[in-house]
Amino acid sequence: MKTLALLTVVGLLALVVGCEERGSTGTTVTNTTGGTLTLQAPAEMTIKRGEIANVMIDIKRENLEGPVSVRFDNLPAGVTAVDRKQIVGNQGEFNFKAADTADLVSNHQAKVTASGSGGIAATKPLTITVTNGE
Amino acid sequence: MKSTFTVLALGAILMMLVAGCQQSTVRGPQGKALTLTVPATVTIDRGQTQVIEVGLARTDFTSPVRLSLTNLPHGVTARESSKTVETTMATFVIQAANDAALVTNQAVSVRAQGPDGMATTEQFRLTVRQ
Repeated sequence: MKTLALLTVVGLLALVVGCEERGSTGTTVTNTTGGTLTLQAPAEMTIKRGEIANVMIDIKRENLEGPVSVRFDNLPAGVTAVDRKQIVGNQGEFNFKAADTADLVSNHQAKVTASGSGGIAATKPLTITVTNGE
Repeated sequence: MKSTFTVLALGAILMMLVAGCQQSTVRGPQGKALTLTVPATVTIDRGQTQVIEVGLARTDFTSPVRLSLTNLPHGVTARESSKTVETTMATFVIQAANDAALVTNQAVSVRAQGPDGMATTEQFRLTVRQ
């Protein structure tokens, strides 16, 4: 009986922890006026030399209006972000181009930052792998 | 807030004007307006991929805009020929096959559809080179 109760408790804990992980896939920041910005982005991306790849960036906001800018930093050499767009809603597609001579890297640590009004900004890591085109 | 949007929209439009572009504005109810800006010309080589940037300036609304790209030359395909976007710009990625039709200044249409029936179409001239 004790073993069954213990297993039940462990199972419930695992469920709770699992729910928290699923709900915390984004990075959330709060500004001084109570606005919150949650950035959701893929954890990793693979791009071939000479090709264009994209990622979808999702934004969740509370008490935060206005466009949200998205910036990518520390991209591998030869990989560039081609978009200058801002998100006015909750989602945006961002494209990257890898030059024919882009560095071949595995699990390169770049980062994506979403910035809204009032200086609010959320950052997440983005792992990039560059492979040979053919 | 409205002024911020206006400044950003004007900035984007100005940048595209400098680069050479086509644009049109459709107006809706309650002061809403949608301005679509496309490049004047695009050139792509056979076997290559090209990104086409489309500007979307919204006035007094922030909802998604539906975009579609039509009348591409034979052998030129878009990764997505239509999409719904929530951004100030949108990008179409087009690819020319190795045997794509060699055309000069073919008119390609971009249509933008916003809320309240607002819709506008612009064209750019696409050239496919060897």
